[in-house]
Amino acid sequence: MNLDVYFEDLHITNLVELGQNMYLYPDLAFSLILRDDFQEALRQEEPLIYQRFEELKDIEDDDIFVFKVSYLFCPYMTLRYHKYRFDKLEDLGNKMINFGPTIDVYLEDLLKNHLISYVFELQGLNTISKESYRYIKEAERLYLTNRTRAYFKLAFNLSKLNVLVYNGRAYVNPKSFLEAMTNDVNITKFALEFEENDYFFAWLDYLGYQKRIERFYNLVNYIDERK
Amino acid sequence: MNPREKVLLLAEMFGVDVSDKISDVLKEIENNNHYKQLVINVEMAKKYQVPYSQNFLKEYEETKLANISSFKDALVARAKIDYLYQISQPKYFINPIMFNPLEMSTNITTIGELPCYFKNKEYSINQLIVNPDIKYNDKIKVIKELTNKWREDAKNTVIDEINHQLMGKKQNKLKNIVYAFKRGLVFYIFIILGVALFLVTIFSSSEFFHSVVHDTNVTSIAFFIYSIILFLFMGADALDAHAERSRTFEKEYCLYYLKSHAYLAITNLEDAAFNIRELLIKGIKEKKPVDTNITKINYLVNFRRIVLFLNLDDKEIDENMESLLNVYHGIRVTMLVTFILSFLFYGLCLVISLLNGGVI
Repeated sequence: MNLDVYFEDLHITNLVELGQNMYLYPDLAFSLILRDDFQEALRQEEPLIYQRFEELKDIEDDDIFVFKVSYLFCPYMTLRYHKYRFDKLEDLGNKMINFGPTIDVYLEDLLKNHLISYVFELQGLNTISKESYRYIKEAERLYLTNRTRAYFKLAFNLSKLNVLVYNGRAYVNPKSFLEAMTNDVNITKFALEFEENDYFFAWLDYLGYQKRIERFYNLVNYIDERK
Repeated sequence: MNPREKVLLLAEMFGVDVSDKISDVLKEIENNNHYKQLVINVEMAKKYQVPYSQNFLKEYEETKLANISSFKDALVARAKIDYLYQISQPKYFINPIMFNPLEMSTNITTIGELPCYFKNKEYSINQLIVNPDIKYNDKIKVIKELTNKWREDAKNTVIDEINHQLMGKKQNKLKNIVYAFKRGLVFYIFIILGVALFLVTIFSSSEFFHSVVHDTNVTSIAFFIYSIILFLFMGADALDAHAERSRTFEKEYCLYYLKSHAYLAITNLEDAAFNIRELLIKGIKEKKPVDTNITKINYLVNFRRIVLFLNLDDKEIDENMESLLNVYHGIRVTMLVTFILSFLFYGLCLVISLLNGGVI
């Protein structure tokens, strides 16, 4: 189906191009695909795509709707969502970590709405990149109980970074990080957010300190119970 | 645990040195009223040891503040001290058969205030008695179990104490014999030698004895001096031995008392346990709280009498007695030395006299 659409300076001439660039202009793309003339043309020229488009119309969230429609128009493209484009999964992981210890809401959407696994399944990557797919599915399950931990655990698993970047400083191991956090300047602030600091705990988790964390929590429970 | 402590604990688990923070926790523990009370409770528990108190004393010993070297241990100790404080309260180890709550740091004075357990729930005896939801038979069962436990604990404590003391006495007796032998051996040897020499002189040939007694020469003077010192030495030894016997008399009497009253002590204890049980059962039957003072029904008087004598046995001798004994020991040793000198001098005179074929 031929198109003659401008998203600002970007000239789009067909559905594939539209699908590839919708992430850059989500609002404009959303307006376009909801237009009656667009949908009519799609129905007439691409009836199969239109049929699936109709199914996607039930999606309530506009961003997810745009995302899924973009992959309907161009199924084989790298991960693109709401102005973000990741050519490699490592890039996604790094980007997620860069926002640590806070969470980026759009990147969170990818996990929350199972969009990464959606793309994997659509492109058949789930049978090729099995390990990455497993991390993604694990994170999606963990998200139901602990969203921040799931977010950062996925970030570390995808980025393969062993370093924790915290308030602009990089820490190569938990000891050096905790040494810095227990000094008189940092401890009060760090202690306040310590228990909810899933960024840090996800890092420990990623580094393989699950048993030590478990021991720590057991000890805390033991002490609190005795008290 | 506050978040700051959690951070420090985790940091320590990852090898960060947080030892400078240990003193904060220890200070907190020492200033804690529960800890202060725990120390008092522990002292009481040490004084009145029963199986229950022995258990928590063991746990207390494991959490000694002086042994703490890590932040984790300090936190565990702090948590444990609160827990130990809870379980160290005198109400849990007061055995009404043998304890006097008036001497303990506790508000409990009547038997009805003591705790008991029904279906793993703690009640005071009075709460149990008046509780309409607990069946009569269950109440009786709880009380019987409780009084049996008190009786057995008291019996074991008294019997253990008596056995311990009697065993100690046996060992002491053996030790005393060895000590007396070592201490007295030198004296006894010189007394025997001295007396032997004296008798040899007296019962030797009449000519020799006559010359020693009637003549005025060195040998005869040495004999007189020797004889006088020998008797003084024997007198000093007898005096010292008498003083020693006076000192041990009290101990001997205690041992005698202990033996003669051991059986009686156990019988009285059984009676006391029976009386307490009857009192509580009466309370259950009449559905009335038992407000009888613990000191009125316990076996304390008899137990105390035993303890009093056991303590008498171990008490220090007073200073006057000790200085008198030292004077006696001094006289005895001085006399021993004097005697040895006179013995050697007189012996030498005799040898020279004999070598010259007669008296000097």
